[in-house]
Amino acid sequence: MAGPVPGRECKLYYNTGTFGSPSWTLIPQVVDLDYDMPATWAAVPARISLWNFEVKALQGLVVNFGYRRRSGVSDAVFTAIDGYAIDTTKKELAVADGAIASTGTRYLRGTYQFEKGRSEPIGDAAIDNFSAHLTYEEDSGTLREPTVVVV
Amino acid sequence: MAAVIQTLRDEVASTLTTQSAGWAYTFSAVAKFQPKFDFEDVDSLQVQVVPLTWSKAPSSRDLWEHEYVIGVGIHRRLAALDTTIFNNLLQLCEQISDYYEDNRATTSDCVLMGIEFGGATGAPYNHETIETQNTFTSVIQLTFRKYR
Repeated sequence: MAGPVPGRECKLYYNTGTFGSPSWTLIPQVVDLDYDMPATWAAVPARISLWNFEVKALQGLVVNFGYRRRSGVSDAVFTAIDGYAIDTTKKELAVADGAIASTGTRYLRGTYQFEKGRSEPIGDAAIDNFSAHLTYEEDSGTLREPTVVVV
Repeated sequence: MAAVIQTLRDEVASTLTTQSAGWAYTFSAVAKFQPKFDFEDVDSLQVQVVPLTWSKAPSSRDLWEHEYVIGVGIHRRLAALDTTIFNNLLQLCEQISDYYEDNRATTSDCVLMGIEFGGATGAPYNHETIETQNTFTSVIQLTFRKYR
């Protein structure tokens, strides 16, 4: 469907296959999701100009998302992702604006390591908050960098 | 298969009937679609349970949060102003609201999120019906939530 996409129709996937042959598994119980690409800027002034020019020196990427885990319900996806947050597992995520197999879907692909926290507000359902940080990973000697894919 | 709000209404009526054995008054709560009290009947205590509102909002990309408000109406006409009966009816209202602070509606799997007396007014009982009809009228609104 063309047009603005509400957040609840966006999709988050993790790769249960390989880098070369990915198998994207949906993470269904995502609540809010946002990602940031903070950049570090280097100033490159010169006497030749009044202007203080900058060049991008470094680029970061962090994907933050909440997960609505249901107590008493078996959830293999949560079990997997929760496990990544307590060790150093590196996993690919695809942050998509639609179903990943649909033509026109745009997704950000990257490799991450995870951390998490949990909130249990008295007036709302509990939520597990994950933060995925871009990490260094090579595939057959080739460095994996984030890419934007349009299906 | 019944709608969750219907199962919840029926469960509240059944639970109140069972629990009332240990409360200020014993009664049989009646589950209704619409609150309606016949003039002749309110000489004795009448408790009716009615669904009032139902709203839903996204809880996650796969779940919706359903909020159901169930109204518990308590009516009794007094032959004369009897403060003992009046106080006992107030105590009954408290016993009903206290019960759901610690007990989940298990059949419909709904958790209590709030209790209001008299809706927006917050009045524990209706002052007008005392004045005009010698009737104690209280409406307890129980707000339940279910994720599905």
